[in-house]
Amino acid sequence: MTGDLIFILLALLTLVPAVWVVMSRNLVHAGFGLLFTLFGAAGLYAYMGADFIAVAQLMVYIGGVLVLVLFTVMMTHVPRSHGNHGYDRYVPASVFALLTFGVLYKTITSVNWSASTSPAEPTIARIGAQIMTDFIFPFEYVSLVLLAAMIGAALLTREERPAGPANAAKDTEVAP
Amino acid sequence: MGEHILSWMTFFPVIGAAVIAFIPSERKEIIKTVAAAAAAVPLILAVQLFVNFDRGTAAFQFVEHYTWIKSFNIEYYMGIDGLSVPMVLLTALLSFLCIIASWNISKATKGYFALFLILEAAMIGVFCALDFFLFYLFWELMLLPMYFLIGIWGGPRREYAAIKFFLYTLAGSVLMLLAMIAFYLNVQDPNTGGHTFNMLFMMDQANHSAWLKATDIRHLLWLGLFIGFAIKVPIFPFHTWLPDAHVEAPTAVSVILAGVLLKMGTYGLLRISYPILPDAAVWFSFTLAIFGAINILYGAYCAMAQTDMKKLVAYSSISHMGYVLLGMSAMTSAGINGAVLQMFNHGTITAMMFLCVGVIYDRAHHREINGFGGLGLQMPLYTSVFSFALFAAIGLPGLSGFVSEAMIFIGVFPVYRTVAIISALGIIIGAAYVLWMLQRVFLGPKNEKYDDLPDISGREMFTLVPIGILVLLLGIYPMPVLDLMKVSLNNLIKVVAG
Amino acid sequence: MNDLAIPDFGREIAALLPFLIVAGGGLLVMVTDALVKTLRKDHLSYLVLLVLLSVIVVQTTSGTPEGPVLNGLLLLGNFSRFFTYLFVVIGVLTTIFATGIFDRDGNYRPEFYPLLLFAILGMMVLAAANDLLTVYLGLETMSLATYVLAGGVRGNAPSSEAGFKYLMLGGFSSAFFLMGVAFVYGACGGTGFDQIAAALHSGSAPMPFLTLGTGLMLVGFGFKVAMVPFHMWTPDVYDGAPAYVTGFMATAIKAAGFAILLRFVLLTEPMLAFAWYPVLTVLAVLTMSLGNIVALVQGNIKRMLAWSSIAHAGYLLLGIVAILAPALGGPEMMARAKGIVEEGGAALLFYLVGYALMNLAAFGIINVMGTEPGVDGDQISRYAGLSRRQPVAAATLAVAMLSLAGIPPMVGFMAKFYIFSVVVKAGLIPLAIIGVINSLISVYYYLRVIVVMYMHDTAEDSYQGTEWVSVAAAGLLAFLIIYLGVMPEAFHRGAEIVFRQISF
Repeated sequence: MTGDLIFILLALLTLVPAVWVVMSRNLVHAGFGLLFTLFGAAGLYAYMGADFIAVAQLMVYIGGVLVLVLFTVMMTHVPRSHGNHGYDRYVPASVFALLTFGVLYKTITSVNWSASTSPAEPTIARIGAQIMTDFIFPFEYVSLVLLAAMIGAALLTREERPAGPANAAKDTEVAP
Repeated sequence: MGEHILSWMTFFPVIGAAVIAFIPSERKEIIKTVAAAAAAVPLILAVQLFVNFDRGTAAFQFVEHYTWIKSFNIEYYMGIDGLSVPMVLLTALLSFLCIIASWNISKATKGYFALFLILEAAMIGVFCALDFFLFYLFWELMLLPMYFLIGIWGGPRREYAAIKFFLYTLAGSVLMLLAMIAFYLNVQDPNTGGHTFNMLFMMDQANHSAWLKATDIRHLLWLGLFIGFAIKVPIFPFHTWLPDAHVEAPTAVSVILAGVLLKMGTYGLLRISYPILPDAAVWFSFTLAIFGAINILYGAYCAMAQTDMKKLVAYSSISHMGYVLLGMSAMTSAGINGAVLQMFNHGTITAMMFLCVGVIYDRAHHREINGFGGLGLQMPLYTSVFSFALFAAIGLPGLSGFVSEAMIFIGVFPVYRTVAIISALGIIIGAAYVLWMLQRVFLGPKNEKYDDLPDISGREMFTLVPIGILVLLLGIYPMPVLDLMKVSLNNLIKVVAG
Repeated sequence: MNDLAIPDFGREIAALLPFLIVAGGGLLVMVTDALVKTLRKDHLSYLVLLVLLSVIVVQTTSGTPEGPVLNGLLLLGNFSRFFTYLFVVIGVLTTIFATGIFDRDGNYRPEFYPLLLFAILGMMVLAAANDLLTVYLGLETMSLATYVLAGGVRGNAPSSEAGFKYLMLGGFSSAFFLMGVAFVYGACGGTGFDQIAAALHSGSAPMPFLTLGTGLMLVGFGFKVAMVPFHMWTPDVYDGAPAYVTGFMATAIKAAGFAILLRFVLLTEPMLAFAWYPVLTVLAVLTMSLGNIVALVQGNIKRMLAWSSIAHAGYLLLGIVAILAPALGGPEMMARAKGIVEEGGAALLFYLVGYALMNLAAFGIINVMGTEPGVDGDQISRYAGLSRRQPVAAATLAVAMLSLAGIPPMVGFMAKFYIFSVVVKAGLIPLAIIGVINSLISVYYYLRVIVVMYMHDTAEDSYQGTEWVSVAAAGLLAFLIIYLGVMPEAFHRGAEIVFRQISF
């Protein structure tokens, strides 16, 4: 019973601000709404015993992506939109969202779920060990993906005729 | 050269084209000489073929047989029989003469002669190939140089004509491609049990799979092949590319187009459709006769309405190819022998006509029938040569056209009497448009504009006289050509009509 | 399983050597550019060529180990080697084309070189991937690098637009792909291909998850290979990116996308053929037809080739459909299945190589003829009279166009012939007819380029300069196009052997 209550609270924490994100015409407000939604999702992960994903959700999405979004919004001075233009886009968007929901719902309900009876264990240590052993290649390789991204970012934002992309490279070689 | 005579005939022009590619483009005389030499070699070899060809057997001769693409069992398989020999001779002769006739080409000379030689190679290849895939490859390869020859060296609407020619023919060959793949997958190589492109295996009904034995399928495949070949012939209603292509093409290209390329359609029917699907051929024969009659009458009728000499000759080609179809449809010895002889004769006669039109076009820069008059006095030699060609075209007895047309009617009459009688009207219409043109161009009051037109030159005579002699000789004594093909064609009739 | 197997360490390093060379080469090029100030800029290209050639040498001479490495994350063998060769050769040509233009215009983009190498690395990983995780990593490396390559011409609005559009839609497709991976993981309990195969064979995986997951992954692949309806980015990006990048995208990314699509389809075929088959059939027909029809009206040669590349994706999909067909057929079909699958796979690989040759030849010439991307430099009308100004370039482009149109004796014809004959063999005659009609339509727009080059007089705004190294390289490709068109046998055999290894 308490479990259900916690779930409902977390679900509400996720969904209500999500509606706010979509409806708000102030981008900063929308950004803050996203904060609660992402936080709620992290709570749901934790509730299911997925401790690593919950922490990752907090660190990556709230700590990284969201802060980036807010900074971008505040630094680029996006003018507030007035009037009600934009509502006509809600129709196709909601149709698409409903369809997606329908497909997912159908898929999820048609699967015969079997719940695990064993209590949830902390997974972080195991994931860490896995990353350093079985999945060492992807782990190392990701640094190259990031490097390519960094070059791109440096290239697209630099002033005309700087020293070259290698500047960015030197910083990133230790980053991951 | 004796060993691989067909390969030499096919690929020597390619070597010539490659040599031309390395000659600087300003050295036009050298380019032309090399081209003429490269085309002369197949002609000499063709004479050798004519001499050495064994007239007593229906089997393929001068065979060359090598594996080429093993995984698909595609072979380099060349060989000729009585059906292909006349065509190969015709191609070698006309190609050489056309190179001579193109001597005054000044625009991008190098490209012109290189493409012409590649065209010759592809044409000879088509007539020699005994592997369906190889046949298809040569067939398609022929398109490219033709397309460029019309498109670059043609008349004012050359682009349109070239693209129309290309797309029409390609559409036809694509149907052929599909039929080819169907044959490939459903004909068994009796030696290995695998699929094969070998035409000889395809001709043996025992190798056909159960799927291929179904009547509906056979009719469908026949129709696919027929449309593919019909576009080339061209058979009404697939003919509309022909007048455009002819009008725009330079003279020598028109000669090749009418003299050789059109024959490939009927050659394809006889080489591929008839022996591989004989029952479908019988099923279709009456329709084919009707198509032939329509071609004869429609072509002649349209020719009568033309005011452009070249267009007139182009439509007369459609009409004359109708006789070939008619002869083929009868499936009698006289009919089919007459049809193949007509293919050869039409090649020579129409070549003469196009060359003659080219002569006047080079001088007057137009081809309007009504724009001339009284040329007979101005250019007597030219007039006599052109009249000779025109009389050959209407089948004047003593000239070669008469022999083949007579044979066709003899062959068809007992089988499709009504169609034959109706078709005979075509001869009358043919005589009408030819005489009409003759009268308006060469007789009547002299057009003063052309008072200083020089008569036909020595080089032009050099291209026309050999064909003229051939037309005359075959009109009097057609046996040299008939002997070549008789055995093979009678064998074909046995296969088809049982 | 948790311990790194020490005895295998040497084997794994040897197996990864080509990958390490490319990755290390990328870093080396980057550092060299930054540190060695005395270096002339175009010397970087020599370094890149050296790196790529050493990959070929290493891969050819040292017998790199076969089979799964790194706990089954990668599967090395003929298939991955084949694609490594292909990517490396495309990379070499792209480097030559790009450097030629940098040299001529004095407008260097040193970041181009490391990014090119990273993109190639991503593709190599993709072709060798044996785990959805590595698929994703390869996909992302390739994509990130190409986003920047396409959009990296600074101060050029169309290029920026191309890069941004590609980035947005690419990111979108990656999200779909990841979602699909999540579902497949949920269904099969693992991301390794072996685990997925095992789960499929045991029948323990829940079907709804599998269909949804693979469907979402198909969206991801569809974006990469420009399959309708995920093709919308193609014309803008192909047009906006510099021609040397477009050539790279049109050939290497398409090859990489089809490599992984082929592997994945074969992997899931036993259970999911019923779902793949109708979807891919419809998409193949749509892709071909839309690509060809829209290409008809393009006046810009790069946009025309973009639509043509969509159309070619459709032909390639036909090959995949043919591979799938036997799994659905009756017992008679099953008996022929192995042959069809093998021939279909070989036909696809052959097609990819032929397509790479002809597209690179075309873009090599377009690269030389164009000016700045998007500045109206690529109108077909600017090629008027090219045959007289630059006969070699015109002939090369003509050969490429004829090959794309599928006219013998070019390689494009043999490639289409292989594909269509497999399609017919699989009993899909209507599909073959649609394909043939499509390739007939395509002839028209390819020929138009030739018409303009050979039959029109020189236009006033037509480009006069040239860059001989690129033209020579493209000319060599034209020669290969004809050579492979006449002598396809050895290569096709090779493709069959390559394919046999992945068709379980």
